Amino acid sequence: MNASAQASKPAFRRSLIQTLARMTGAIFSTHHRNVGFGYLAISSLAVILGSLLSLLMRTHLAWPDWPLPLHGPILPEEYLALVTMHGTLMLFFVLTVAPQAGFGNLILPAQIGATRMAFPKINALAMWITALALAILLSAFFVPGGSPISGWTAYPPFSASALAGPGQGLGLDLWLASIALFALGGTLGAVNTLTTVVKLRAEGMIWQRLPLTVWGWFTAALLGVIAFSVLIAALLLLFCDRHLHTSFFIPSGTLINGVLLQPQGDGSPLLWLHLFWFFGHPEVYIAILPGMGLTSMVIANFARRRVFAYRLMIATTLLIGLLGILVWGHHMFVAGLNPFAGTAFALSSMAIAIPATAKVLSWLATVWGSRPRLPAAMLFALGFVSLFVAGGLTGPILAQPILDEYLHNTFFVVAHFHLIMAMAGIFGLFCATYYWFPLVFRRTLNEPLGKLHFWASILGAYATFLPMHLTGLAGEPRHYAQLTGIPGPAGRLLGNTMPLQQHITVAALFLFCAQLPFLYNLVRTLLRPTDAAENPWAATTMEWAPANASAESTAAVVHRGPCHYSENGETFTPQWESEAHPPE
Amino acid sequence: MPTTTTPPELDRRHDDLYEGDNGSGRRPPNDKRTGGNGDGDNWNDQPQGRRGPRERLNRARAGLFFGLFAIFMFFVAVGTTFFVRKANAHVDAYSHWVNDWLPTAIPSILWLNTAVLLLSSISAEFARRSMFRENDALDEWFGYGRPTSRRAAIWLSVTLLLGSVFLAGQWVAWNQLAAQHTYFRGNPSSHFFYILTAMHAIHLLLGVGALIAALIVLRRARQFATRQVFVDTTAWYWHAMGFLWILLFLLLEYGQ
Amino acid sequence: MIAAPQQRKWPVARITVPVFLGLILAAAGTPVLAQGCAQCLDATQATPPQVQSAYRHGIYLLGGAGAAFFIAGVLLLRRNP
Repeated sequence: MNASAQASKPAFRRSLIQTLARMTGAIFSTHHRNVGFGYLAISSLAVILGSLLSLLMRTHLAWPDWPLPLHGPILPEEYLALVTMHGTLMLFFVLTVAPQAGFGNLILPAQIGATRMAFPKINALAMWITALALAILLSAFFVPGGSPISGWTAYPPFSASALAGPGQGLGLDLWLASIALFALGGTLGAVNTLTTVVKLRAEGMIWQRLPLTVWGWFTAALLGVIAFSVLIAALLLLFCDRHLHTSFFIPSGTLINGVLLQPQGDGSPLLWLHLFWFFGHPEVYIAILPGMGLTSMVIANFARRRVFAYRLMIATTLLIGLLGILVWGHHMFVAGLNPFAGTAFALSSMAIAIPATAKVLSWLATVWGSRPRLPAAMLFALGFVSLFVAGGLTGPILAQPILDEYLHNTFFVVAHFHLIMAMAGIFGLFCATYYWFPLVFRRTLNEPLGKLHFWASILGAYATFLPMHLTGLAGEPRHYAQLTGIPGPAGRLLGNTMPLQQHITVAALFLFCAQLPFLYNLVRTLLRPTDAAENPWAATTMEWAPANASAESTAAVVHRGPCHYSENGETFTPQWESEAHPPE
Repeated sequence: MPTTTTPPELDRRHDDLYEGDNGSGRRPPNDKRTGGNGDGDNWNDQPQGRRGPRERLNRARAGLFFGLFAIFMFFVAVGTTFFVRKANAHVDAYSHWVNDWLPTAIPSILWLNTAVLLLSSISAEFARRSMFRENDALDEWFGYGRPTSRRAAIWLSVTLLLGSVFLAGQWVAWNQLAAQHTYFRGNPSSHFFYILTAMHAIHLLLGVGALIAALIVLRRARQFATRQVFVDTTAWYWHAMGFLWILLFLLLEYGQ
Repeated sequence: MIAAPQQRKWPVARITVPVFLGLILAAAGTPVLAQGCAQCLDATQATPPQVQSAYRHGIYLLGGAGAAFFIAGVLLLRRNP
């Protein structure tokens, strides 16, 4: 016994070393799947933190006198810090990272019939830069003054001086560094994605046959390459304004907390808005385009039909991307933008409604009259459509300068972008998770739990964000830490929204708790032995090709476009099959 | 529907051996004596993306192309700021519009620097083309000596030298401005002068790094294709930075 | 079953050209249709024309360059069938 214990000890040590080596190997590997998991880990951390911050914000809005345990009452500047960090974490590190970089790396190469990304080392480097960016951002919580308070948009002159608030010194400098690094990582990742799509497609994967998910990733990457570097330029100029006494964004005679910031210099905050939103609006599409593509494919998959108007869907994806570059001014209608420019941007913004509507029509037409299977993946895709419509309908409203003038700084806008970008984006991510889980892990997530997750999530999403339209219309301003105790008629008006505020907060808590079945489902499924069949959804796209199970297999060849299902939906011809199924 | 296609340049034949590259550097070492098209090791049987050196080269070029989007958009953004900042003004106590922009006198050494950078671009192009000169490239591919790599290394070294001269020239220009008490902080126009030149210099330093990497690769890399890829992309990057400099120089010289 | 799609020429021009013409026409029509907040209008009217045109050119430069690069990227994908 003693001898065997002695013998097992080195064996155990060896196996431990091997496990550690394998883990470090996986962590530092340049294989696209490991990189994708790295990105997903980054955004998982960010989404948990970001949701907790939002719950703190909601609690404070509904019950402003409630002191945070171990901290005390939440001060107004702390509320703004919560707003800033919530927005930054969610927008950059969740909605940009997870759909584009995370699932892009996991799935995209297989979906185009490639075995790798074009530049694996650059890919891994980009992931590590993004991780570093997240670490730097989170470190802002712990520096003197705390995290920045100027929102994820960091408008100057608020962001141009450390005098402007507690987090605007070192905290904002860390924010700048983090976002600059993030943009660098995003650019590198986007270059990699673009080159992969352009050059590494399998034989026969002509671009009409590319799945719409790939089109979404491609367009989003193209937007990333164009937009991120403009953000870097803006950040650099803002840094110069903060530390090198320039005046790109600071007008002359700016007083901040009684201190004359810039005795001379004719900068303009409007310039920052132009540069920032030139990045910021494409950024929104980077977050949502992969989800749009995935929704098309998943709906077609479970409706057992081809995507309605496939080529038109390709065109609308590209058109949304192109128009997305030309609409940034609609974020600036009340910021001093020339009213003539406002009209031009309003027109280009409303033009986006055309391709977006075409997409919704295609989703509906694809599923219409079919008898779709409704597993959780399909439910989340349909939920994406629902949220996209609900959030999108307020888009043309806000694209009108006249209406935006009233609504811009109210919760109406918060409701709009949370429904169409945040919730739709997250539903796209859940759809991706349920849909591709069998592919990645060879296990299928539990369906009843998935359905519970979906119904609770969509209920929570609507219960949280629909009432925000009402409070916004009632005049609830954004970025206000407290709505009670304001004297005068405005205070009475805001006081009237308090019951709704409390409802929204409870609904947000419910939405948060609705994710617990999902987490349980994930852990439970991962602990189980593998079970799933090779292609449980009867999908037609290349990532499900059996050859891909063994990496570095013989070259994949693509024979047709995706979603070839027979008329009755019973048989299907995947993209990798050389001969169509014999006619029934 | 044909699922396999022959790369078009395999069908194109040139009489003049030295015309083989036709300036775009598309060619793999060669298709004539490698048993390429139909001689047993049929490239068409290989999956796209790994048919050979040409695919690697094209992949690297595509990556560089997309990366240049990002670099140029950065300078477009700064250029936009340049124009707006130049026009911006404020109302003074007497209700006059006062513009604080004073043009920075561009040191004339920048003309010299520009010429040097253009020369360096030419030598980089010589290096790039020499990697695709058919007979030598084939010799090298077969392993009979390294005539192309040696020639490319010489031209790349020339490029490296000229590039360093350019960077040193920029340094001299900054010192000349400092001697005239034109510092970064002086005026909006000098902010832009320093930011644009410094950012371009940083990108050019990346190019210098790429040149050094290419020189190392020329000595060390075993595959001829690797050497081709490094020299080719470095040269294209160098050209792009030269082009960018001309735009920036025109902006600084005539745009103020 | 369903035949593989033919490699038909993609009607990019048919889609993008009307879109751009529409945008240009719309932009040309904007001077009669100023919309925005009253303060924005006041601020703009108090701004000298060269500043206004600087912003306008800045918008053209940014949007034009961005759109051009976007189209170039799509064309590169088209060139690699």
